[in-house]
Amino acid sequence: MGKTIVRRILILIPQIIILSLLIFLLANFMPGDALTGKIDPNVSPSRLEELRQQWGYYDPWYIKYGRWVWSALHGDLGESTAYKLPVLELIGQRAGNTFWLSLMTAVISYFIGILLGILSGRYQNQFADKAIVLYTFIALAMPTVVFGLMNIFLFAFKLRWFPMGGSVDVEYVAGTLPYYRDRIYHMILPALTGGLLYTIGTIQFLRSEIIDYKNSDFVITARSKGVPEHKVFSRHIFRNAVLPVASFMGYDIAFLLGGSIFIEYVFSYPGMGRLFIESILRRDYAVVNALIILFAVLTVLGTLLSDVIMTIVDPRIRIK
Amino acid sequence: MEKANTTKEARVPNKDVKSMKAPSFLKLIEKELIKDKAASMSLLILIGILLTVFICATFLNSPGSIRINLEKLNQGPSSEYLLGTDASGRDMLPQLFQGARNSFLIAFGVTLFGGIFGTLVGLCAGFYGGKVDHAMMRLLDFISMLPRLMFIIVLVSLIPNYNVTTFILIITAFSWISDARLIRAKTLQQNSLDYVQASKTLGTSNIVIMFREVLPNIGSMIIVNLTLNLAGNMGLETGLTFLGFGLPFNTPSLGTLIGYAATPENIQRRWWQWLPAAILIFTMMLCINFVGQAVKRAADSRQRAA
Repeated sequence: MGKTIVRRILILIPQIIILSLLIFLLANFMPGDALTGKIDPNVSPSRLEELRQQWGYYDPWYIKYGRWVWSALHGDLGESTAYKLPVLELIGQRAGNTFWLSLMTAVISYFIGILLGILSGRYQNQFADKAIVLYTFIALAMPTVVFGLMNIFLFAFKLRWFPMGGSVDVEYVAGTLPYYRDRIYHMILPALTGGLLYTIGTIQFLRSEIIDYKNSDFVITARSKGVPEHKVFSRHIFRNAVLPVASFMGYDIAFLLGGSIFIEYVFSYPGMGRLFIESILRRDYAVVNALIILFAVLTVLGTLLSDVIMTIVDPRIRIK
Repeated sequence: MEKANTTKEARVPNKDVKSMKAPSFLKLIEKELIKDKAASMSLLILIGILLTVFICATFLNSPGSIRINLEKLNQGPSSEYLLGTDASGRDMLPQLFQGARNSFLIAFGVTLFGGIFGTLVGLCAGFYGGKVDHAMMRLLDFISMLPRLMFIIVLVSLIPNYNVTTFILIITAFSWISDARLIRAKTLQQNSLDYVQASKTLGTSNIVIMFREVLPNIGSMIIVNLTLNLAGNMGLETGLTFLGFGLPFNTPSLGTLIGYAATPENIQRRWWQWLPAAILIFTMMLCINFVGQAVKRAADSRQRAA
């Protein structure tokens, strides 16, 4: 298996090269350049032109690309024109926020998903199952932004249980206990918004797995041996049905990152998704490039992680 | 006596064969819809909404209905303005109709184009197999690695003369992937069946086998997939327009209207500007999903209600 993982990571390298080229060319077409953001009325147009030439603005794209790759390999992804910070440092500041929010979303999503999925499959076509299936339909029909706004309207504005947005109130000192409590408090509503929606995949998967297993040979054998029904479910059915859910975690990375763009925007949460939108609007392309490549790499690594977990929990499957 | 008996007996299996003939897919959907009350209600509601939206969007499209009126800014619902006005004093109701029409048409366009392209690629890859399949799968792998939402946003902010058509094409460029994958898998299944081998032996041309024989056999599955995609695409369009990377500013969509809620003032005090659009998109997506599930059951004999 170690060999396969290495090979998969090696396949990743040409993919990243093509991706970076694609993104670089796109960025090259984007209107404006790094100097547009720095234009100062006191600087004459001829001086700007001089700066552009000095910085290689008129070089052909392949020279620019080479220069970009060279500095990227040295850990320099350029500087954000809007924040006047190295891109890596800027993303580093935001990455933690997105990570914790995604983690909380995933925990909520798995908790609800496994609980409801098992209930739904266990009591198929009974009242609980019908209610849960209705819930999956409602969640499937709810665009993330709409659900987020409704939650803000109801829980933050009408009931005032949660803050409207942001990640932490300014009054708290970083590193203190109330500071972390406030950060968690700010994460609850966005994490619930994501978790309640993203959980449907798990529910639907578990429900159909359990229903399939109910009539499989080994379950019938267990029943005919006289195993009590609750033990048939807890020992034989659930264990088989729940294990593959562990492998969803990798795929969910891509899902959570994509969703973070919507959720962080709606809740004004300062993570990478919001940074991406802000950078596009401010034409801060060094940040945009870096974020796209980061998200793509994480997506691929997530898929790989899922495949690896799958082979661990289910030895019948071997990655080829 | 004996003769009559044999004819009677001979007729019975005949009758059986006739009744066992596979019913058409439309008939199956009809049967499924009659059985599933939620789905038939959803279909009626959906048709109702679409008719209202399309008729009203066409007839209320007079310039007066969305004229800027500086004396009537941010008015609440009244007999004159049923759903109030926005920050420029424009009537919300015609905007809602036009927005719903645009959102639906875009989602429909994306679903249709993505479906056609995905079907073509999936059929070719699955049918020809070998190198064609390998090359196409590598391409699919590469595109599915790209962060879809980010690429759509970058392309939208990049393309000059950006309009509804380009918007549809940009989303389609990423939405056909899942269709192609699914159809490739189904085509591979069909390929191993005897009828395809028999046709090949008879010398039927590949194009004819693909489009006249394999395609009809996986057709119901494609329709199911597209129905369920439609709702997802409406959600995607709404989200993108909400973020400001969807329809151009002068073309309202449900996302534009929901976007009014991004301002704290509006979400707190002016529910009429965004809540109707939010409820409308939710209702439409819910109805499409219910109908889609009924269609799915009709297509899958294992799930079909007996």
